Amino acid sequence: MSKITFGVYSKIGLLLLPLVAAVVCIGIGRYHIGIADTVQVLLSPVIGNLNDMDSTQVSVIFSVRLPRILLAMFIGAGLSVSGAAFQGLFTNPLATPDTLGVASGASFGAALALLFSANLLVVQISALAFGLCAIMLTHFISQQRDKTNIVMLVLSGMVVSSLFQALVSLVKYVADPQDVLPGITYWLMGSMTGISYSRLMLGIPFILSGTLIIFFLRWRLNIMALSSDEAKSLGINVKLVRILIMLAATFVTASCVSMCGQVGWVGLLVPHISRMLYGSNNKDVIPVSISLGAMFMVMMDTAARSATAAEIPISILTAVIGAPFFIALLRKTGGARL
Amino acid sequence: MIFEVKNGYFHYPRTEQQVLQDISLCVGSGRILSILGANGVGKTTLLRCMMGLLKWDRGESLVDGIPLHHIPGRELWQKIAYVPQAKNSVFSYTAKEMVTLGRSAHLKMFEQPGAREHELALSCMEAVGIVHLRDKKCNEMSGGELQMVLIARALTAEPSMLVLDEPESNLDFNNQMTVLSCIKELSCQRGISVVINTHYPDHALQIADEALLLNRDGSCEYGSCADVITEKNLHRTFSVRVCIRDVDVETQIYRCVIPVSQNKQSKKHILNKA
Repeated sequence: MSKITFGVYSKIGLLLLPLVAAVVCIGIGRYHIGIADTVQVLLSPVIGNLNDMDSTQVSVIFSVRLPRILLAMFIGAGLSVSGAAFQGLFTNPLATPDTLGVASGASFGAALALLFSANLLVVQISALAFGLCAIMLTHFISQQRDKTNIVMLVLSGMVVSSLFQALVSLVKYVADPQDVLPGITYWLMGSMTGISYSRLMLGIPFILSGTLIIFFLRWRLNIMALSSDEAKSLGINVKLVRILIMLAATFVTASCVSMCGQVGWVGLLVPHISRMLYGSNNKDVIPVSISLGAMFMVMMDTAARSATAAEIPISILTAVIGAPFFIALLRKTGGARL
Repeated sequence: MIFEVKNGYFHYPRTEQQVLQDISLCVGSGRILSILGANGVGKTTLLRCMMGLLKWDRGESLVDGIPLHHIPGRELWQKIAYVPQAKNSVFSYTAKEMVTLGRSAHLKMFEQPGAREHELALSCMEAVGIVHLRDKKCNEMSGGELQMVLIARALTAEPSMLVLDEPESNLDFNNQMTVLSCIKELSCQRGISVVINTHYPDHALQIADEALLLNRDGSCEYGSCADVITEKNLHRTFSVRVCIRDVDVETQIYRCVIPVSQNKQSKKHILNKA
C-alpha cells in the first residue's frame, strides 16, 4: 500500500475535486446544460450579466439543481466525516453512524416530529436529541469495566439500532396512511428532492459547525485511539475531547438524517477509501473524507435523479453502488487498518 | 525536578486487598528508581497511582513539593512522560506520526503539530537511534522497535521525568541492552529522572540508583539499590532462593542475580537414587 505524499498539490486537488464534480453534475439531467454554459450561468450573478443568460437555464440551475447539489455536498461531507470521527473515537473500523445506532435514533426523532407535522427546526432538534440518546445508549451498553471492545460496540450498536428501527415502525404504524405515512416512508429511504434554500439554511449550520469541530480536533483523534492511560498521559483531556467529538459527529448525523433521511454506507465507505489512499493518520483522513464524501454524494445524487425517468431513492443507490466498490477495494488493498 | 510520594495507600474499589500500603519514595533530577516485585503484585498500579491515573486512597504524590492534583493536566504531562508496555499495536500510524503524538501536551486543544513539532520528533527519534524506522507502520514492528518508538514519543514531550512500565520485558538481549543504555544515557545527559518497572534485579543493579521492592502485602523496601537488592530481600519478595554474584568481565564488574532452585534437597535425593 503506497502512501501518497500529502503535498500542496494534493491539498488543492482535494479542494477542487468536489467543486468540479458539482459543476459537471449541475449540467446533467433531463434538461442538459453544457459545462461551459453551466460555468457562465453560475458566474453570472458575480459578473453581473444575469439578465443576458437563458432564463430557462438560470431557473433550472439556481432554483432546482444548485440547492440540491449543495445539499448533496454537505450530506456527503457530513456523513463521511462523522463516520471517520466515530471510527477514530471508538478505535473501531466498523463504527459508523449506522452501525452505532445514531442514524436510527435520529430517524426515530425525525419521524416522531414529522408525525406531529412539526416544522424543520423541531425535526432537527428531535433528531439530534434521539441521536444523542442512541449513541449514549450504545456507548453505555458496550462498556465493561471502562473497556470497550470492538465486537461489543458493534453488537450493542445493532441492538440500539434495531430498537429505534422498531420505534420508527411504530411511528409509521400509527401515522395517517393517507398523507403522513407516504411522506415519512419516502423521506426514510432518503431523498434530496424538493430542497429549498430556506430548508438548506436551517440544516447546514449544524453540519458545518460539527464538521469544523471534528476538523480542528482531527489530530487529537489519533490520540483517542490509544489506550485511555496513554491518551491521558499525552496531556489531553480525554473526557472533554471524547464528548466534543461525539457531540459534533452526532450533530452532523442527526442534521443529515433530518434533511434527507437515512443514507447508509457513506460513513463506512468514504473514510475507508481515504485510509487506503492516505494512511491512517486522522490529520489526513478527515480532510480527505470531507472532500471525497462531498464528491461521492454529488455523483450518487446525480445518478439517483437522472439515471432513470423516475427518481431512485438515494440510499438504495449508495448501497448498490457502494457495496461492490468497497468489496473490490477491500480485496485489492487487503483493507486499511485504523 | 523532585518527585515524591508520601504515604500512599491504594486498594481497588469493591475489593478487600490492600494493593499498596504506606508507599513513600523520592526521585531527584537525573536519578533512576527501579521498582521490582512479583507478577501481579501491583507494580503497574503503583505507577498509575504515582502519576495520578489512579487516585491514592490516602497519601499523595508531589512534584517539586506541589501536590499532583493541584497541577493542571497539560502542565503536568509536559513534565512527566509515560511509556506504557509495548503491546502489539493495532494502529497503522507510522513511527513518525506516533512519535509526534508525544507533543500533544504542549499544543493547545485545537492546535495541529507544525514544522517545529516534526523536527523535534525526528531529533528524538535520532536520540534513541530509530530514524530509519520513520515510515514503518507501528503494527508491523517488532516489540523492540515499538518500545523504542514509545520511548521516543515520550521524549518529544521534553519531560523532566520518564515513567517506564517494563520496557525491556519480551525483548532479546541486544534490545534489552539498547533500551537500558538509552535510559541511562538520557538520565545522565539530560538530567531526566526515571522511574522504571522491571522484572530483572540485574537491570536494576546496572542502571538504577534507588530501588523499591514491592511485597505481596502491599508494603515495600525502599532505599539505595545496593541496600535493597540483597539475597535476603529478594528471597522474601519473590519467594525463591536468590544468589547475587559478581562477575568480572575484562575491566568491569557485573553483579548477577541468579534464582536458585528451592528444592535442592529433593533433587539431591533424586540424584542419589539414580
